[in-house]
Amino acid sequence: MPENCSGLWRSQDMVLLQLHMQREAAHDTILKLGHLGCVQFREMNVGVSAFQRMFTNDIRRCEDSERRLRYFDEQVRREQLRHKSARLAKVDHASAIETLDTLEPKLEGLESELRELNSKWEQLLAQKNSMQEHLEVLSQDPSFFRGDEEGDVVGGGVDQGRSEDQVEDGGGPRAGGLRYITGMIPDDKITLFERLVYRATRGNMFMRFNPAKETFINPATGETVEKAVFVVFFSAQRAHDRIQKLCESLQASIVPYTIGNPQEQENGVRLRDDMEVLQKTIDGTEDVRGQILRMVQQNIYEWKKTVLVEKAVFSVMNMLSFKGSTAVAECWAPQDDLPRVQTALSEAKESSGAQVDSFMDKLLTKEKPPTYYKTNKFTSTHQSIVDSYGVSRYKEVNPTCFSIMTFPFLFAVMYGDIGHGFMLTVLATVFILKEKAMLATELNEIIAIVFGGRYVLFFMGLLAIYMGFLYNDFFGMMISPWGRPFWFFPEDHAAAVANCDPGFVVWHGSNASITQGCKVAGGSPYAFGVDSDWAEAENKLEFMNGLKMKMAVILGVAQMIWGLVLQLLNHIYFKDFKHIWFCWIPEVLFLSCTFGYMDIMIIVKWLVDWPTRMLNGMTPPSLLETMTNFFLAPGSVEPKKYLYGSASTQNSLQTFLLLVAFFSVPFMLIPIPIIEWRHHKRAMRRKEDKQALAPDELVDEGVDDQDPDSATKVAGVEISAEAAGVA
Amino acid sequence: LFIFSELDSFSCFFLVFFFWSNSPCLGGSQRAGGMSRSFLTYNIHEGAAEAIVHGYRCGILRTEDYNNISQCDTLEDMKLHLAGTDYGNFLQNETTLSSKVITERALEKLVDEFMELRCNVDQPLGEFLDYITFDYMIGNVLKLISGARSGRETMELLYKCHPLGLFEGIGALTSATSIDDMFETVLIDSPLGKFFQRTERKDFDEFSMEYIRSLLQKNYLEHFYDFCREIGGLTWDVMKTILEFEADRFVITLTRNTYGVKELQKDDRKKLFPAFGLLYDIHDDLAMVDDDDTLKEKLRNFPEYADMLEGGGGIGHEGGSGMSGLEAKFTERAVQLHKNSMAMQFHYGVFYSWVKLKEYEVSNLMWIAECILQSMRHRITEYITIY
Repeated sequence: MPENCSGLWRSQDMVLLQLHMQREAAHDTILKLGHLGCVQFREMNVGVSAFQRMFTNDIRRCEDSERRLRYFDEQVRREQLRHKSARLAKVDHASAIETLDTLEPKLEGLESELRELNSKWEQLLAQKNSMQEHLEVLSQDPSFFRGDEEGDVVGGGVDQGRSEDQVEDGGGPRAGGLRYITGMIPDDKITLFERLVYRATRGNMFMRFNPAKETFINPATGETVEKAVFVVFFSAQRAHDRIQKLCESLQASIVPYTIGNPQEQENGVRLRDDMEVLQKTIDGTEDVRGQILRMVQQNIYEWKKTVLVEKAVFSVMNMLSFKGSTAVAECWAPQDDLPRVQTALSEAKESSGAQVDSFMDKLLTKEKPPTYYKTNKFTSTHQSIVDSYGVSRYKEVNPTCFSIMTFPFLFAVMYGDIGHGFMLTVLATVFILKEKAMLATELNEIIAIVFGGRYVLFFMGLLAIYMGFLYNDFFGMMISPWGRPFWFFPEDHAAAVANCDPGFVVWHGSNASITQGCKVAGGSPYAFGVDSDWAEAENKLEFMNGLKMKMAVILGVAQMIWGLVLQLLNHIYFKDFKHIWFCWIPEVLFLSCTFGYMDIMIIVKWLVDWPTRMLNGMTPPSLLETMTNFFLAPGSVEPKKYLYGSASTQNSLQTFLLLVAFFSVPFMLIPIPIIEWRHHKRAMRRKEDKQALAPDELVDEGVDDQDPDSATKVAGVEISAEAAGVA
Repeated sequence: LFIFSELDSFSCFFLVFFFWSNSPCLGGSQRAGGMSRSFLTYNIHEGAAEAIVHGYRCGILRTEDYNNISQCDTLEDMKLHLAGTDYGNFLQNETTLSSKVITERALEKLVDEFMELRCNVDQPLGEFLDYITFDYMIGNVLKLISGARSGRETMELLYKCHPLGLFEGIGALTSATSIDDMFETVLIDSPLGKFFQRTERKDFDEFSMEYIRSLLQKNYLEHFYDFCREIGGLTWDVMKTILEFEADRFVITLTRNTYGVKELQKDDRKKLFPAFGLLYDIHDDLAMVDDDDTLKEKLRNFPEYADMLEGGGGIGHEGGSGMSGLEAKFTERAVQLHKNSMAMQFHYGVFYSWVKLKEYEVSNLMWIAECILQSMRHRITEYITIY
């Protein structure tokens, strides 16, 4: 390619490399090249399904480690939830560098240790929960199990004296001829439980609930559960089993309790002691677990990174082809970076302890290389904005070069305000100045987005200030930085005579009004931006809208035309003259004859001295109407409403432009498909001729077509030698 | 520029008018019930939900995926392949894989998606979605009933229930000892209550399992059918076809399964037939049928069913997924109907068909996983082809 390409203007020169290395060096090489970040590997095992590849097992190992890390993450998160006050220590990245082989057993050990601790903890907690439930039931006020007043359905029956001779007859304890069940139930199940028990006993029951004083922790999920103590009184023996089963199905626990038995209180004391002992064991377990989790938390970032890097390396290694003891990789790399690739190769060879030197070949290929632009911290944001619309093909002009300025500028056209722009600039400046410090810390998601675009924002702010001056907008107010205004909006004829330029006074006649501004006598136009006196005018909004809308249209068409110019540069670069004649030229004609013409009319209308013309009985034409008639009713410009020349000049020019635009459409659409079709037909005929002449040669050619690699020629080992020399 | 924008709004208006005038609500074909949504307003209420489901449709495994999966040697390979589909990393937290785990996780994914939809829809679509779950609830209740009858540990059965068919208080079913008990305690105000009610009061415990199953199924189909008619519109058109097919399938299967069963009187048998379907007119005749030849004779006027019987051969002929030939034929037809329904828009059948197709897919996954585990390579291709 003739143009020497560097930087942003066109893609870097890319070469297709074939890397040969000893099998053992493959892993380290890929790792090194990955850190380099400038090569793109090619798939060499097309058609081999994922699970037949060589390193699928290693990828699976990585996934297994990832699963463990996710488990740790979850555990750490729970630990943090449990101890909200004691935030765990700040992450310390300085731990030894791990590889998958050393990391894997470590993770495995930690996982089993944690799981064991957790299951132990769960058991202990379940035990504690049941004790606590018992205590809750015991701690209920005796009135809970009795009626509120004498003669109540239940209360009347419960007799302290008789409780001694209660009989356990399999139907649960009895009190005053009624059987009862006590226990605890999760809060959200209460209504359902009530309803089901009511139906199961056909309404012959009495039930009471009292919320528990303490919350419980569900050992399985670690979440807190609100529970309530319940007591059900019923009479039938048969109902006992059914209620018991209902409890079971609703995760309600039954707590054996005998109403009015003084021994229960003694049980309570003993239970409390037992629970204290248990609590100590639980605390101990939690302590050990906390220590492990703190250690995990300090390292987990590095571990995750290691595992992800290893997984990426193995995924790339799945793309290589292995022959005997050598591994072959194909990749695209920028010409300028070849020395770095070479260094990486030799370094990897050293670190892996391979016997044989790795080397690279340059392959010649007809394939289109991938596009690669070298960007820096300033251009990369802009480049990614452009890339989000589409990545340009290899060696095409990169629009980023221009969008670095046009993007912030077009933003400013919309945003333009001195005050707001200033704030934006200050914000971006702060980000830029604190760049180093902020890069080192982990940012909040939203701030990270703003921070990423700091350079774009900086220019957006600056240009917004510029546009703010043009619009004369400062926090939505007009300012008058240039002294005396040029425009004056007279309230009546007298005011007009006193202040205005005589020409305007004549034009106004006696109709002076605040909507029709006139030139101040002896005034000079504003040096820059909109005259501040427009703030007073009644038609300020219409004027500003008109101005901004027209400006937007002009900028829009200019942007489109500039796009076409870049396209022309591409066509010339690729020597694609067919597209210049039959695509580019009609496009330019169409655009400039319709909307380009509209732009010119806007500017002409601005330049015309309307007061003078209007004195001659003319009316300013509406551009919108003119443009509509341009398409729908050519030749309908009225004699006293023309914009330039005369009505007939304007009519004939417009008709001419419309015809040009009209005829450029078929030129744009028809010739290229025809040319392509004929080209294709010719190519097919040539192929047929070849087949007819030498049918047996076809086999070779077919193979060549299928395998682009065999068609590519090895362009010399000297490249690698040369590159090594540079290095 | 201005002209173009004007043209745009103009054409939009025109299009809206066009759809409006074509919508079934206007063209004199006003159906029973005021619930039907026209093309004009459908998307206001159900557009998003339906779009989501149409998106899920693209995630249904295709023949290429099945080809890949059935080449796997281990479940790990299968997991790797499924990771490339819409299932994504649904198995990522599993230490050991089994066909049960795969099925469970796959079903879990379906249920999650379904529940998310259920939370985000208006009525009557909400009720429609509930109707879809009733089918699974019936299945679960039957499972628990048979568990209670055989005296198995019922809590254990609870874990085997289909997750779409869980409802509040289903666990309490385990506390009951008889079906009447279950009905009195739990089922009476569960969504299934109405399916139990349409019979003369008789002790359920006297009936055989099969009888109860058929009865519930019949009631379910009839209710669902009525409900779809109430919704009307395109939903009715689509669901009518599907449900009528389901009813006919049910009638034929029931007839074939009860040849010469003494306990089932002929008029009782007829009572179990859902009162709709293409075969409705010959229900009386079918109730008397006692062998395959007579059945074929009776179905002569219904070529598609007759063909199925003919081609499907007798009982015991092995078809896909270990199904008998006729069943495979029915499934094939059902899949076709569901695919047709998924190809349309502006109706609720999409939701029903999506759940059913996913259901088939999950059972396919189970079949393939089982075949891999038991190294039954030769039968691995007997899954139900969907797309």
